[in-house]
Amino acid sequence: MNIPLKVDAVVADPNSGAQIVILKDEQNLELLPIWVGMGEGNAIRFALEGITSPRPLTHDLLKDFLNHLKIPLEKILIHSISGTTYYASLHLIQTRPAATTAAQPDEAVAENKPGDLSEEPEELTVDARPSDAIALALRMGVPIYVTEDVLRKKGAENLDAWLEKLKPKDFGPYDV
Amino acid sequence: MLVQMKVRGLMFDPYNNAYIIILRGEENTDVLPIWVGRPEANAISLALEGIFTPRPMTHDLIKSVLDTADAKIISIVVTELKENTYLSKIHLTYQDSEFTIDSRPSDAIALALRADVPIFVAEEAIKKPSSEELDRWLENLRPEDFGKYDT
Repeated sequence: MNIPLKVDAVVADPNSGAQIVILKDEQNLELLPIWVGMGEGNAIRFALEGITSPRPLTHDLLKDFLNHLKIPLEKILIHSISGTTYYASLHLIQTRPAATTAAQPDEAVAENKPGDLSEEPEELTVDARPSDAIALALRMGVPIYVTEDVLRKKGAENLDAWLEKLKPKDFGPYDV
Repeated sequence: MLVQMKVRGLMFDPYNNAYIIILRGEENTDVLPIWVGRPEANAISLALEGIFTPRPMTHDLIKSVLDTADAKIISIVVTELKENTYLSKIHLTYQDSEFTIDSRPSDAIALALRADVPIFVAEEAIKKPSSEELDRWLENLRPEDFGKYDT
């Protein structure tokens, strides 16, 4: 089963200089932190805070492509984790005129059937980094899903990765 | 009129803390420097050097979306210089129709290199070097900055 998540915040990781996207479910029971690069973190923060840049950024360009070509984004799904890397996918809906799916119908046939505009919506899946997928989902207002499997696995694996990054001095300030 | 250009170099501009993409025409007469940000320079540099990243970067994702949908980029055109900002357009075909999409030159060039399509520059976008910025930049040039991507 897939669980819908919302982007709660983008925070800076003082250890690595990277940014962490915090995803939460609606009941605030599940929390999924994903480490992303600086540029990707900014792209997500801009969308989250509704900041518009004077020039379209790269994710805005991708949105423009999808809008112009009329290929709607249905949802994004964070579907697996390997080591410390999360994998996501874009789920797009492509509508192709039925005629073009047939093997090169000759023009006469196409002209004879002007009413034959039956369309076949088809789901396209494209592999993406979660950061790009989330940046796009926020811009297009589509839901972000995560598989239960990822939520189950993230606990252990992600915590290990995080613990490895810790340095002794990170503990200091909180000593009493 | 359009002039076909190639990316001939990519360098750091310490004065503006930005990167400069050097486009040059086939006859080596016209040179167009375009200032871009660091992530965009990085995206272009990965494509120029043919570096494969384990996960798709943002421009790879755009290319992969277009490939999956069977849309093809035909060319990109740097169309004009407006208030010190270059504007460009990406031309593509999809389901027997042509589309034109506005873009920053950096994104357009990053995509052109990945899709292996020609980069055109409108003549009116090629300004004679006059700005202070360009002078400073020229002073900064070293011979080895040129030619790296010449074939």
